[in-house]
Amino acid sequence: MNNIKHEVIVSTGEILEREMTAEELAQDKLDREAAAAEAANKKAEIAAKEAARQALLDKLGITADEAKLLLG
Amino acid sequence: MATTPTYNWQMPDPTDFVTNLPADFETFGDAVDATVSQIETKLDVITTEGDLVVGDASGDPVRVPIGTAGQVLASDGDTVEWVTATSGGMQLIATATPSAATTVSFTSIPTNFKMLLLVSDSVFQSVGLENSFRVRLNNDSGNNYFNFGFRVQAGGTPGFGNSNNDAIGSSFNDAFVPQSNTTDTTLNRTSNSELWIYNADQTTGRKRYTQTSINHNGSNFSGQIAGGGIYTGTSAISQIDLIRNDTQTITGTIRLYGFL
Repeated sequence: MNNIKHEVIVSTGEILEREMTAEELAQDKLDREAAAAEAANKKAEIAAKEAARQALLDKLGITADEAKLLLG
Repeated sequence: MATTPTYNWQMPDPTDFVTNLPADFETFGDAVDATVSQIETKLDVITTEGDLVVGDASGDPVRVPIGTAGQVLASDGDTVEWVTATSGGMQLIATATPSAATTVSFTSIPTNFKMLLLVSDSVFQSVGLENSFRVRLNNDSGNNYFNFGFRVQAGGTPGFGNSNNDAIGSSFNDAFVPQSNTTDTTLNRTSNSELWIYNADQTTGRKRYTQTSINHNGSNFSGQIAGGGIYTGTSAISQIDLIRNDTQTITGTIRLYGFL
């Protein structure tokens, strides 16, 4: 089976292994799309910071290790 | 006429003729049968699994039905009853053992717990690198979670950040189940996390949460994650869902504890 929901009904202790409903699958799709967008934004942010850092290092004519030494 | 000392069942006298014994034993047996029947009738009050039998004010047995989940047996000075405990510390209230599941849900959580603790034990994902499972409360997918968190990993650059999104944690820095190994079930090569949810029984205020995790992403380095935040929903917590960031599945043990 695909798309299995492991559900514990706490008040009764019952445990269900069931197929996700259409509504749950739709929410799962939305969650994955939102996470992908968040990850893409985060990666772009990290890449931009790294590019800015490298540009500054190039401007100063030092390496990243030398910059670490400089900053202590 | 001879009788038994407690129930006064009629017994044969030593002087009875042998020919009288069948009738004597019939009288004796009928008396025993009647007494046992009376006892059975009094005790036959159980109708449902979990029923208790206690004495009433007259000393007769009466049924006390099983209480609801999380209730404890208490005395009011006269008899016993199932009540919602107002104190009593931590209880293990549910255990989920997903095996290649898409999602994990704890539903119908009793709303009398002041604090909830979700613990993942040796959890791993079908695809571990850059994948994660976050936690959603009360099936609320609105942007009602204000998160902060940081990640420290051996051989990597520490990451930190804050976010206002649709679940506890971000998939990048502070997910409940962060990057984890895909197949190795050795304890120190899986995701092991704790999520504390405070004021879980409150119906007016916000809920605060904190979480920590130690994980291994399958590339022989481990990471530690810590985070927390505020959930602005005002309903008491009755549902907890683990939601994924991609198409991976989850395997392991996840326990839910409640504090009264």
